[in-house]
This record gives sequence, structure tokens and C-alpha cells, in this order.
Amino acid sequence: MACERRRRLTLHCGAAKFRRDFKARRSQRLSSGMPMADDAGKQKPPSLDEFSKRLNAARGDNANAEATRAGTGSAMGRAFRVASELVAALFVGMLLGMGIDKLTGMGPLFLLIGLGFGFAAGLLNVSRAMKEMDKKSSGNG
Amino acid sequence: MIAAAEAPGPMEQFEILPLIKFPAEGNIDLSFTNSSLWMLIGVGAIIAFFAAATSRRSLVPGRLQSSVEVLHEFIADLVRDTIGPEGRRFLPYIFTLFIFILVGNLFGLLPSVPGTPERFHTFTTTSHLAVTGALALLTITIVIVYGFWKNGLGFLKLFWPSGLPVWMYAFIPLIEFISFLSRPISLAIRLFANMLAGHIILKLFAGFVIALLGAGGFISVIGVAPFLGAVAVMMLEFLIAALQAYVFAILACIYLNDAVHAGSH
Repeated sequence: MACERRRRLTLHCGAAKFRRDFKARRSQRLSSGMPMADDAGKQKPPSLDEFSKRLNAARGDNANAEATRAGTGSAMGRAFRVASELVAALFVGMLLGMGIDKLTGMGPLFLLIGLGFGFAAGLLNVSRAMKEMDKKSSGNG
Repeated sequence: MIAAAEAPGPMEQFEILPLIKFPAEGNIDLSFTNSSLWMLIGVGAIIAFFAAATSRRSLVPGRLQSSVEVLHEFIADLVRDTIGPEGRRFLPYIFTLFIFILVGNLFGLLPSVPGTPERFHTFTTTSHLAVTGALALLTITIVIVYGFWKNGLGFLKLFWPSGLPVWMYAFIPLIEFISFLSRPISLAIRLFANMLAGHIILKLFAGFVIALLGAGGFISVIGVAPFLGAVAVMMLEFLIAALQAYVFAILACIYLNDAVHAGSH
């Protein structure tokens, strides 16, 4: 055979021989009517690539359903997120204003300014949060 | 039957009770409390679960192993989608954060063993601002340290968005600064408030059931209504427990993303 002539490829030929033997043995087993575990009709053992391809195909059907369920289920979570973003920024602005008031002794002046800035920062937070949510939901749907 | 007046109030579940007392150092009390106990139980359960799931690693996973793999893939996808390939180094942190909060939330929903003293009752560690605040501060510290380490002073571009009219730079950096400072606060408050509110509502409904049953006669039949309410709230709580852990993890990812990509703003 070819193997004797090309000695450098002995290793390769060994593998090929093994594969041939394996196929022969399996076809023998198939023809003798012995049932194989799961995929009796297949000619070669399923490779990992093929398996992941099939897995992805099967997953493709569920992906959309899961996405919509997560979208509706977290409506309250989203509302809570927006509210807490706004309140947290207001709180920080208020604290900063009160701190500066205490340092300078200027009465409630900086508290009011701080509240204004805190509200602005809160709106910024909210608009960012909404943008993220929009991106996420459009990406899924 | 317990009379309504004697039934414990809905806030009693959040009481911190010392189990092992350590001498207080000044104002700091380092006692081992029921909160510490439940954190320890949570961490122990996580370690045991992952040790059991990864003890026999096989190509075709069994039930335990595939549940862990799904969890890992879920968080890995989250990190990759939010931060990009560079986020890989934050995966262990985000994963730990997610699992710790998830288990803390879920273990708080376990029933207490009847008859045990109050200090061994089920305790929701995440219903305390001290715990969620510590997690949020740790997250924002990582963001700041990594941001400066990675971008140097370019990290400050976060407060200096490009392409604005000149006069807006008078106040936009201050607004951005406040917005940045508010992040850990909103992170901590959201988780803590969700768990606190949920558990109070749950115990209020349960308290109604006891009070109505205690009234006896026809009135005790009405007790079915708050009981059904409690069941519904319980189911909602399971959803919220998972959702809040997810929200905490995804927001940590978003903030870390700012630290990673601050230069390109």
C-alpha cells in the first residue's frame, strides 16, 4: 500500500488505518443489526462542532421568547431603577450643598444650588438609564 | 393562638443580634452577629455547591455541572456584551458579586426553623444598607482605581465630555461629578430598599393572617385573602431576588465599562 512507500507519513497512515478499521467495525456492527445508542443513522461520530451547531439551532427558537419574558418581567425593576437614579443624584447634590454651607456658613444658599445640580445630575442619570434600556430591548427584539 | 398584639412586628426580622460578643473597640462593635452567620452560611453553601458541581468535570455535563455552566455562561455573556473582550479580567469579581447577592437574597426567603431562638432565625443580609453599601463602595473603588491605573489622568475625561459648546463647561463637569458620586448610592439603595420592602410586605400579610385567625368565628375565614396575598408576594420575591442580583451585576459592569473606556469618550 501507499504507506510502505512514503515512510515519512507513517503516523498519518496509522491514523488513517485506525479510522478505516473503526469504520469497518462499525458498519459491521450496523449491518448485523446491533442497535447503537442514539444516532444509529449517522455514518461518522458527531463532532463537537456539529453538536454546537445543532445546539445553536435548537436554541435559536427559544432566545426570542426568553428575551420578551425578561423584558416584561422586569418592568417594575426598570421603574425602580429610574427612581433610584434620580433620588440618589438629588441626595448627593443635597449633601454637597449642605457640606459647603457648613464650611462657608452661607446659610441655605449652597443647599439650594446643590439641589438644583443634583436634580440635573439625576435627569442625566435617568436619560442614560433609559438609553441603556432602549439599546438592550432593541438588541434583543 | 397568638393574639394580634403579641405577634412580632414586621420590622423585627431586620434586627441585628450578636451571637458571639467581642469587646467593642471605641465605637466599633465587632461582634459576630446573625447577619455574619447568614453571610457565612451563604458563602459556605456557594463553595459547597461549586465544589460538588466541579468535582467530576466531564465533557457531557451532568445536572449539577450544567447548572454551574449555565450560570457561568450567563455572567460571562453579560460581561462580554457590556465591557467587551477586555472585561474578561472582571469576570471573577462580577461573578462573585452576582452569586453572593443572589444567595443572600434567596436565603433570606427560607423559613426559619420553628422553636429556635430569635437570633438563629433566617436573616436577609442584603436587606441592610451596611452590606449593600459595602458592596457598592467596593465596586466604585475598583472603578476609580482601575480607571486611573488604566487611563491615568485621562480618566477625568469622564467628567469632561467632548464636543459641547464652551459655555456649558461651566457646569457640566459638576453635574457629571454628582452623577458619578450618585452611582454607588443608587446601587446600594436599590438593592437594600427592594429587599427591605419585599420582606416587610411579606411579614405584614403573614401578620394579617394571624390576626384574622385570632379573631375567631366568621372573621377567621377572611384570613384566606391575606394568605393568598402572602403566597403571591412570596413568588414575586423570588423574582425580585434574582432580578436585583442581576441588576447589581449589570450596573457594576456598566460602571466598569466607563473605567475601561474612559479615554475614548
